[in-house]
Amino acid sequence: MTVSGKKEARNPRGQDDRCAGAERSGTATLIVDGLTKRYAGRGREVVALEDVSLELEPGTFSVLQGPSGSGKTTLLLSAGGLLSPDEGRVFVEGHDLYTLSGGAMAEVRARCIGFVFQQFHLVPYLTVFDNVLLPEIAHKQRRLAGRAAELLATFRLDGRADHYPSELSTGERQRVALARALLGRPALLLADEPTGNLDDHNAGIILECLDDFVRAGGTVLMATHGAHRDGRDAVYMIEQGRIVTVNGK
Amino acid sequence: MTVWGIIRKEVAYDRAGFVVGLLCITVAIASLVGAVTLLRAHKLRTERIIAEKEAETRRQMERMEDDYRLIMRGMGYNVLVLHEDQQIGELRLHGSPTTYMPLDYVYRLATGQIETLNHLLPILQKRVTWPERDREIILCGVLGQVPNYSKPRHLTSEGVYRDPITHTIPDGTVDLGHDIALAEGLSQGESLRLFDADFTVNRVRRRQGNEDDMTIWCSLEKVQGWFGLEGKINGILALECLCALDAVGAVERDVSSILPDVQVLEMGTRVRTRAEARTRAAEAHQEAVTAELLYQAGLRGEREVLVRLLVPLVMLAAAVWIFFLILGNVRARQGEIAVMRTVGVTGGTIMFIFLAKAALMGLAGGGAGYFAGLAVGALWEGVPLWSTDFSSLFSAGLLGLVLVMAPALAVAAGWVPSVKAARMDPAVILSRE
Ligand SMILES: Nc1ncnc2c1ncn2[C@@H]1O[C@H](COP(=O)(O)OP(=O)(O)OP(=O)(O)O)[C@@H](O)[C@H]1O
Ligand SMILES: [Mg+2]
Repeated sequence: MTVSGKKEARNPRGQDDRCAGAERSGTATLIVDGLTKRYAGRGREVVALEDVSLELEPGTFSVLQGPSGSGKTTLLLSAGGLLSPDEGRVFVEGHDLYTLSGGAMAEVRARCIGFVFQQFHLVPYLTVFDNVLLPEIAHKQRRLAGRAAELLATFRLDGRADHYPSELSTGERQRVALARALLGRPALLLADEPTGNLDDHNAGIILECLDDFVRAGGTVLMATHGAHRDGRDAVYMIEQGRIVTVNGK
Repeated sequence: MTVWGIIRKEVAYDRAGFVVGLLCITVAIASLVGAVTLLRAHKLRTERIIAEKEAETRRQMERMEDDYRLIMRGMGYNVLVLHEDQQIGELRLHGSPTTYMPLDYVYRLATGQIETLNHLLPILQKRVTWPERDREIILCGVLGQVPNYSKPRHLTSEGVYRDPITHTIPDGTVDLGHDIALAEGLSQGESLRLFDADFTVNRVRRRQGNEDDMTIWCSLEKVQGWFGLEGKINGILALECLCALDAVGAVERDVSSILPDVQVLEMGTRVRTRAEARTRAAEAHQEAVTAELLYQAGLRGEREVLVRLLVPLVMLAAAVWIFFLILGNVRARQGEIAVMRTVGVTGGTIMFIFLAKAALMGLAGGGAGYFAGLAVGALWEGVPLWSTDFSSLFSAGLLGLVLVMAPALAVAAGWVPSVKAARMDPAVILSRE
């Protein structure tokens, strides 16, 4: 494993980069190559993605924009190893995701990928602290409590550690979900309309957090209906499963 | 955060669901343990009833034996062994046997391994006129009593005869029958002459109400000498032992196997009747025991059928219930399942979470069910809690079995829902909302 000094400085996961794969090619965090996903609908086949390719470098913030039903969620799930495509390949930190066994795939998800959704999917019977710490059960090294406390402080949630999700505002809930996604120091953060349920103020906080993550060397791919495209590294416009335009910086 | 921590917190959160599952297993296991306990308690009670009845029978038998022994001792001998040629009519007419046999016969009987006779007494009996007093009497020469050597209980450790019924008559003395003593005005210690010899009265016997009251007993040798019958006797008195109560034939067979030319005459039928009555009582007791056993076996049979039908049914119902309970739990938790998958938790771990919860349910329900079943089964059979009987119904083996079986049942019932949870597609769940 060779990690350049520059890369190391920007590595959001600190010095123990367990994510890197042996067969990594290039420096891209995420490579999506010729992805096609079809859903067998009732009588009519739905093509959710058609020959989609993109490449995200470390420390970049990319936006996926398109109308409802254009395939944004499908692309994020496929990129995160949760939805196996009909054609094409996905590399995360050099791991060819869909060639991996279930266990290896789970490990890559635990170490390399973080997810944030419009619905926060917090576990109702766990406190804020335990929700953030939840991914620990997927990690062999079970020493993430300190990291969880650190994240809660970063997201200004340290006063709410013992509260349950039902006792939080929506903005706070999304911050908990984001903290949870970042617990394992992922290289790639996949965010599906993370601000969709939030007011502008709270949306602003979340976006700031994502910016911080990117500044620390992380890679973000965020699906969104609306704005938030200013100052991003790339904006992929997607329509009917195809990427139609790319606006890079 | 550990898997067990998640399980613990989930159980605490969905306490009602867990408790319902636990109760369900408790009921199933309680029905099983209750049934087993019921059968066990029933067996215990049956054994006790039978033991009581048997003890009662034994007591009766012992009392009977005691009675018998006492009566025998009181009444004296009840069997008379005579020479084969002795006519019973003659015996009655003369008041004493008229046919002789060798004295040796008594020793042959005593050493002949006879089971049916105890206490042999050789006699030489003659109806004569007491010359000095001109009175008809029965003269009876007796040797000391000869024990049945085949029965060691009659002998002391030194080989001496232990408990004779009749005592030897010392030389120079006689025993007098009650009526003779009365008629002749003789009492113990006084002197008399008999066949030109002097004797003192050793003892005056109690009134017997038979020919014994007119009998004078003296030593066998004397009588043999007076009548020129050296080495001869004309009867052997014996005590028929208890085991031959219903079989004179048995005594006869025994005796004639050793002495082919003798006959056995039975006396003392009153004893016999009483002993037979007691034997019948003992038999009746035995019959009652048998009847009780049969009745209890029937009862047990009915219950076993019930148990064999009911228990599997309850277990099946519990399994089905738990299946749906866990299925419902998996549905309710699918959001968390999807999230756990996105953070890298494997399907195996997800499955483990649900199965472990089922196993915990089974373990707790099994333990609770065991003790509930034990209590219900015992109370049903009328065994009070905290009694020694109750603690004897406790079985560590069954508890152990239940503690393995109940979790196994729960895990088996929860298997399909758990596999379903493990195979749940997070993408479908996450893109649904
Ligand atoms: N499980 C499914 N079965 C069949 N069709 C599906 C399934 N999931 C998604 N689709 C279809 O695939 C297409 C892309 O869906 P996707 O959820 O990726 O869109 P999206 O861009 O995320 O939309 P939105 O902005 O509303 O979230 C849609 O036409 C949708 O109806
Ligand atoms: Mg979507």
